[in-house]
Amino acid sequence: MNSILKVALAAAAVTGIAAGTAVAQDHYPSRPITFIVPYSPGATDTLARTVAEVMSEELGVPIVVESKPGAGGTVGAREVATSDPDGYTALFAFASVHTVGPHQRDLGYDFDDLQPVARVATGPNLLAARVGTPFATLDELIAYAQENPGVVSFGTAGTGGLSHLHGEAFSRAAGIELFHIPFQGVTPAIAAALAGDIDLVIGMASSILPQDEAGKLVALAQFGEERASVVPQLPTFRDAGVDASLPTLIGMWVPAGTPEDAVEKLSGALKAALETDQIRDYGNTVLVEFSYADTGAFAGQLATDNESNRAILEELGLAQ
Amino acid sequence: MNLLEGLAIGFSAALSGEALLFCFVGVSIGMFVGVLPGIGALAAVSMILPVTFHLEPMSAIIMLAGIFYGSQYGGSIASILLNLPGTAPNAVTCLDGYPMTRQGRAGVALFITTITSFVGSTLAILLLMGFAPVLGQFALRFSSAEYFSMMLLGLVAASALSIGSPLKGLVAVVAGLVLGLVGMDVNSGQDRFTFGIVELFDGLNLIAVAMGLFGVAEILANIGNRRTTVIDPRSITIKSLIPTRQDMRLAWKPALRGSAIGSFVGILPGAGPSIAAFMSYALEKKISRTPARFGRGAVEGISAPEAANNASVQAAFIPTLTLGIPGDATMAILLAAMMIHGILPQPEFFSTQPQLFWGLVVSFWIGNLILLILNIPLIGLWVRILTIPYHYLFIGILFFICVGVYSVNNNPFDVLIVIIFGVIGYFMLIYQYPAAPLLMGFILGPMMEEHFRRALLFSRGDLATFVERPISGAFLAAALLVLVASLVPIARAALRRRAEAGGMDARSPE
Repeated sequence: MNSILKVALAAAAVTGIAAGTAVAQDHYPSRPITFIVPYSPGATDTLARTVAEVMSEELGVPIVVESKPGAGGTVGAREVATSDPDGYTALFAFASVHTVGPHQRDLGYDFDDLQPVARVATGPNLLAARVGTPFATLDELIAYAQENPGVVSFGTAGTGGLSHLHGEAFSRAAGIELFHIPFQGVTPAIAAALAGDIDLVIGMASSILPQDEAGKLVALAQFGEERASVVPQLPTFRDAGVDASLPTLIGMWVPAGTPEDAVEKLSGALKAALETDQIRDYGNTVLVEFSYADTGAFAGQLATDNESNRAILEELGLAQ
Repeated sequence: MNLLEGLAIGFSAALSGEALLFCFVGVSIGMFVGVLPGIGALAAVSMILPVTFHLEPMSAIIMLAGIFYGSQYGGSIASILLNLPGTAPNAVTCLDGYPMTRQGRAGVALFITTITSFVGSTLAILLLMGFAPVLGQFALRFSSAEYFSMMLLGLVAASALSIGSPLKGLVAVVAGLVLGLVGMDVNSGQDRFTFGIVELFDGLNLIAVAMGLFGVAEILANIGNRRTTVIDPRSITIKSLIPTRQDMRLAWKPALRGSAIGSFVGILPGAGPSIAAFMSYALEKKISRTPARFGRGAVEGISAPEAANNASVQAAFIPTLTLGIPGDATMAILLAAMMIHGILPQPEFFSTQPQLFWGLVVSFWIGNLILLILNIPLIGLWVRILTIPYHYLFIGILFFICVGVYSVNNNPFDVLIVIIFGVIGYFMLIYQYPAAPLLMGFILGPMMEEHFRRALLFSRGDLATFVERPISGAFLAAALLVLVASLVPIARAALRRRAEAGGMDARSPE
């Protein structure tokens, strides 16, 4: 009897210790976290590194930022979608890898395989005209394009990319017809606009605004819901009476099935990081509108975008 | 502000202790990553970028720019010694550089490429100093129609890249064009020949293809040889490292022509150093009185393309600094770095921030001078790599190939591509199909298609745009001329053969 009790006590003790260890391991995060940026080194990966540095202080573990480019970001997104859902691998990317790519081809992951963590930024994406067009404002553009359907051309970073879809969504909402000319990335599109080969170009403020300030392009409007703090002078589409709000979202994702508390911790650390002066100053320098939205709000926005992108892709014949 | 005033400002800024230090660090890192195949300026610049946030803007940009052009110097070393192009433009240097190594003239080849690289860079820097704003505006007049016609000329001239059978050269070009189709079509957004493999969406990785066709194929071909080292260690003497007067006499004119072509191509943000290197090589072979020497260790075959690719890289700063339009991914990071430091490149950059502009440009030249001084004493050391027995050496080479190719996208898929193209390259070597025209077709094909279709979008479908635009029309005329000029000897040879009726298998002069 005595020995049985001893064994039972010992077992209880062992279980207790085991339970204790499990709790210690459950404490998230307890080891370095990897952020995958699915693009070639450049603007987005520098952005991720800057944010990760502050988040790492919040979380108390190092964050490794890895660049994994390919197929418009979907190679890196697939890597995250198919990795262990333990909260130690996260994706730092544009929302197109979540709400556009999976409609176009079989990528080895779907919309449901990625769990949104939080929104990092909302562009701003801008619409700009070359110098010397017959229109100088958004209203004039719409009036001109209504009279001359299909005459005004717009350049984007590629067919089926986010800025192409946003351009199409805008022209539908405004009731106009624009002529799409795709480029390999936004830089050659801007060069073509400077040379006068295309009338309009869509791109991030960081590439458009310097040209606007130099008087080489005329920024007409911003795509976001509200006027971004880095470009308060430009109207949104709603300001001009066009019912379209098409913010370019940058955010964070983890594999579906990641424990809720890990998602919460990451989201909280991101929120805290975006509120620091360091990140705010950085955003003003590189012309990025940092704008946090929590997991629920971000997921809702992505679900809406996912449906509208699917509809436009099907209409353009670009859905798989 | 005149040039002399600018230079005075520039030298006073670039000769400060801090500027010199960061220039030195930058070019040294650049040279080092340039020597390693595959790992190029892009990776190095992006890794160093966050470190520079805490530096003075000018020091930061000087260092990052130094990495960029410094990597061009290192790139030719593996091409010449091991037939291993670290980047696509260096593949052209393989064509005559590696045969020179096989002849025991590796030191001479390295010496000449170092000097011609310096010449090319210097010429482009002079252009940058004197005419940057004008040239920037000129670059904008190059639209898709002009790019297409220029590349067509390049493709026609590609026949010059092959030695031996012109037919096999043609087959290789076509194979390159076909391989270039793999990936997403820019215009329609549809996938072509990707077989559902997401990694093929962006097309085959250029560096992987180049290293497979040249480097891995060479290893496969050599493994069976009983030869223990690439060259006999006893053949390395001081004299064997230094070019003869005859070498220098042959090298200098091609170096100047290469610099001119490289500077021209570099100004255009959509072309790049590969095209500059290929075109200058083709030109030298076309105008040479002894074209048969090319591909067999001709000095002109290394001095022209090396001058061209270095000039092109330096000239690429012209559109970046004056228009804010970067020509490639590395330049885009440099531009991003400038923005982070609060500098917005634009035409007014010269007058608004003269100290920065002139300081930067002068630092380019100082950086190139440092590279020249660094490189010459190292030549003897590099050549000694060849004294390592081949059965040890090739393991090391393969290791660097795998690491380098993997590092481009951090994806093992690219390593697979290297292996596949290594095997293809081996069989091409055995059956004497030249690899360079394939690479040229592979580089030019997708760009030509993109520009052809975009030019038609600009003109809304009017084909006349290619001849109506004067620059484009001139390129097309030149292409036609080259085509006729290369067909005439072939036709003549065929007629002569027919006349001789069943004589020896006469090789056409091309």
